[in-house]
Amino acid sequence: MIPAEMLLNAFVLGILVGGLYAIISLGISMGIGLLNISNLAHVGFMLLASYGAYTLNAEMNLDPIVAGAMLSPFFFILGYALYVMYYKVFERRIELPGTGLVFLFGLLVILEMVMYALFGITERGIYTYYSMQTITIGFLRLPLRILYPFILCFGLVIAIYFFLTRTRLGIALRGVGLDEHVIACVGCDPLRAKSIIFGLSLATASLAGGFLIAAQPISPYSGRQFIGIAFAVGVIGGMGNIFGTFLAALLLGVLGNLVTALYGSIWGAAISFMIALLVLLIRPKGLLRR
Amino acid sequence: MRHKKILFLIFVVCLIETVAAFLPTVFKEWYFYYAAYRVLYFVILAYAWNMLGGYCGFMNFGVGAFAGVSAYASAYLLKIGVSDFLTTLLFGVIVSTLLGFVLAFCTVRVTGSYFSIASLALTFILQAIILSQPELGGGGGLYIPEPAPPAPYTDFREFLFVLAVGTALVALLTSWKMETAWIGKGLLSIKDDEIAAGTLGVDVVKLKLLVVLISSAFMGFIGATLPYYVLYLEPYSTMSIEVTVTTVASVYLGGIGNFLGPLIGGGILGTIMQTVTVTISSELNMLVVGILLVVLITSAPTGIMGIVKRMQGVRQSND
Amino acid sequence: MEKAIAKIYAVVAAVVIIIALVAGGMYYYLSIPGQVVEKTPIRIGFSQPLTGSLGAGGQATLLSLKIWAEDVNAKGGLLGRPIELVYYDDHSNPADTAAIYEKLIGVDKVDLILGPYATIPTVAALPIAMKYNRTLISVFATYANEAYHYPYYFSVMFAGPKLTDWSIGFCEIVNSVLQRPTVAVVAIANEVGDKISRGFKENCKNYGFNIIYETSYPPTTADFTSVLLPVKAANPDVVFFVSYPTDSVGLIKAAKEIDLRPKIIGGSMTGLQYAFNQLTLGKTLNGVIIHHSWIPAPALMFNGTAEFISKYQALAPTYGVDPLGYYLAPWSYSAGQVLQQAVEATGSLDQKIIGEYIRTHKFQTIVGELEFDPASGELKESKLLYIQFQGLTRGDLLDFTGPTHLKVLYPPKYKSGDLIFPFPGWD
Repeated sequence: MIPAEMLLNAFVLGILVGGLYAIISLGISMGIGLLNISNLAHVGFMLLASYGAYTLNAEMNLDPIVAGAMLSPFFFILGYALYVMYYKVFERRIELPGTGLVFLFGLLVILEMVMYALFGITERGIYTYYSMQTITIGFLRLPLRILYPFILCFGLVIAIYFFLTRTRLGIALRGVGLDEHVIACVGCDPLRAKSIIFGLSLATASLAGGFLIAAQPISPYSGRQFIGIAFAVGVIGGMGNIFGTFLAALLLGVLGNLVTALYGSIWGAAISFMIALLVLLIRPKGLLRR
Repeated sequence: MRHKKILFLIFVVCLIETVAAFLPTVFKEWYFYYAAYRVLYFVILAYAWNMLGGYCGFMNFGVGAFAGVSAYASAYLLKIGVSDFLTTLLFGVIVSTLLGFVLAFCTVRVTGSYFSIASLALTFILQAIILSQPELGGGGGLYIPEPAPPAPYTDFREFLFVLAVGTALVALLTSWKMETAWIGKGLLSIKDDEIAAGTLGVDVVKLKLLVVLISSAFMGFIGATLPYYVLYLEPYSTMSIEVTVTTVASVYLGGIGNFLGPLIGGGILGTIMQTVTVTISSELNMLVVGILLVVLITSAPTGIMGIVKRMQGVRQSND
Repeated sequence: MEKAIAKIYAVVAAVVIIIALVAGGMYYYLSIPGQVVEKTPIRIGFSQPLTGSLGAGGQATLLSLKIWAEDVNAKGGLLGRPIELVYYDDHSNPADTAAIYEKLIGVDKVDLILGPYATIPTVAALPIAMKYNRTLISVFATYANEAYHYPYYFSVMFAGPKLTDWSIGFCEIVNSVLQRPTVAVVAIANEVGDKISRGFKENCKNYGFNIIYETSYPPTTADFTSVLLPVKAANPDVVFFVSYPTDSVGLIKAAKEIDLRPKIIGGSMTGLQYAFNQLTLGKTLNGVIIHHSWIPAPALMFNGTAEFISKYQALAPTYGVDPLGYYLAPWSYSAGQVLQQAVEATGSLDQKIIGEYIRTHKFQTIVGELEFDPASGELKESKLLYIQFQGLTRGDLLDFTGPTHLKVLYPPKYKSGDLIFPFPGWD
């Protein structure tokens, strides 16, 4: 493989990997953009779903992506309930700003430790029939374990976008993020709306968890590296901006891959955060306006 | 009135430090200084965090990065042959303060939660940078030769203990000053409403920057002593989220926004954790901290000092 | 106002006094010596990374040492006294390791110590052992003594004292079929990765191999396709990996996905010796060459080996450790044996006497005869094996149990099969 082919392959793979980043970042981006809640525990929930998928796979031989999808209604309910509690305790507490953030941080640590207690430190992976299969197009080799999640993520992004911009419920939900009181005036319960959004956010975490363990092995601390990526994606794409998040995720996937191919993976890992900080400096609202 | 208070406080501080300085010459249990340093480490980090988080409302989730980068800076100097303790310490402080400056600069135009996540992301960036530099040991880690302790101490960790006590006391005084001086009042108004404070003439950016720098300096100071304690640094445990979580939990346990909070919280939590590590040996140390943090923040976010103040009937300042 | 301030000070004073009392009380309580009974147990203390990144190995080591203690006590104990293990979890955090050894020696006052599993905790423990003049036997730590040259440190670790020991077997295998091949090196960016790849590069120089591409990756890397694309582009004859458990699996997966097909592939890939990971990859491992420390080949069965393996395998599920226990467990057990034999032979618990004995004698353990290099404390002679996975058909636990599909290619005295060359491609 001559370098040009290698770079092209790296480029395409970057796009595929970007799909995974997108679905992870989407939940966090929705939280920050629509609810103004920086859900640090998001990656913890994602890992929880991954372990759930692992268990379902071990017990019933269920495909992890399917498992992640099956678990998402539960995560929706969990997210809904969690937000109601969060709202009642923290949103009301204007005299102590930021405590909500600390709460979520603590929640992340608890989730990690619970998963650790249940599953131990050994990395868990799932071996599906497509685990090491690839589709070969010319000199391009596309691993199925990344391709499938990408296709599904793409579909998901489009679905969420249409939901939030074309359906009445979706538009109302977006509105509540902008101004709670106005929405209340038109007869929509802001707490319910917000809880639905958060529930959706956690549901995407469940899906992401399924995709994650289909793509690579996990350990209780696997989620942490994605906090940085999700943040970078959100900053670049604009929090709450669905398509922006998706494009930013692809961009970072490609960038990371290209840098890795050319300069080694150590720089590839750091590049996204550096860009994020740069963007924060220049255009805090993100590169892609709504 | 205030004059008397300040003098009394300074007197108490000097007394404690003197006692601490003499202790190693008579009390020879090495393990005590070991454990005490660890506890004081978190007390100081808690103070640093409280300055920014308690007084300004900016939550730094990259505590591990600040202390860690300072540890690496100081270790690097040691590696290239600069063995003067003060120099390495100073260098560590400078590096971490610079980091604070960078973070503040980047997040000056966005909301507080961006600051938090950005500081968290910093941890990863710095880990990657350190990994890529073989002079910093890369992933292999950095070995530090054990230094000779200054007289009259027989172990360098005794000296570190005394230094840590002193630093904690200085941090306490600084916090107290912040709370009571005009900076303190300006800061509290930022916490309430940044924009309103700005319109009232409070130079928000300058104040924020000042506190970030002071906070980073303290984290850097104690971080720079870490290489002398563990004698081996590697990027994963040196700058980790566990440091941050423990620091934050300490602050909330003791009482956020109060100059005694970090001492109490850090002291209690640090002692508990050190004890748990070497007695019950529960692997769920972090679970305890996490649960403590979540429970505290939900039901008693003002911590011990908050409860104390409420019991005294002193009107809680509206922070 | 004054009264309020005074009250605050009173509260502070009270809190500080309470903390001091509690800490002092706990401290005092912890340092009460154990009751003197007829047969006081000999207490052996150590720290293990039972949680954190090194947790899997730490747990396996703990189980092996527990079995060892049971075996010793079943035969009447050490010097006629039962042994008692005193251990704590250091969470793979070297700062905690150091504090734990301080406590074990200074407060718990254990009679003997053993080292933790793995390099990083051992490096933290060694200065403490040195300070108290204790003999320290560590498990699977690499070159921890390099900076200190402490005479009573001993490393129960299958590689020998030289960095080149790790990869010389691999190079020998390559050299037997290829002249001046092109080589690519992919290593994990940490202590072990650095050292092993350095040793490998030195070996390549000596053998006349031509390194055309080298790279390293951060340990948190989860997807290796982008790491391996440039390797494939370089089109080397040989690919040598230095990796840790998750990465090893990830690298093989990625290699298969992009169809990286050199003539020889493998390396010092930790993790592929564990059943968990072998099962994940299954038949894909056919043709891959990895290092190993022990497999149940007839030539590698020594006195007590079979008994240990069956005991270990019986207990493994309860402890949540690797079910086969081929790689690390027998070596951890033998660390205990070294200590035991030294104490029994000298009849003493004196650290210096034990240390001197270990420096100058050979030990018969369940992984064979061990002898230590007095200059560094590492094993005098490398016991590192290189094996090639061959003939895997189902990729299940049965395939990986026993020596049938794990053919030893190096060293010659344990050779059990011939190299399959060139690499047949991915299954």
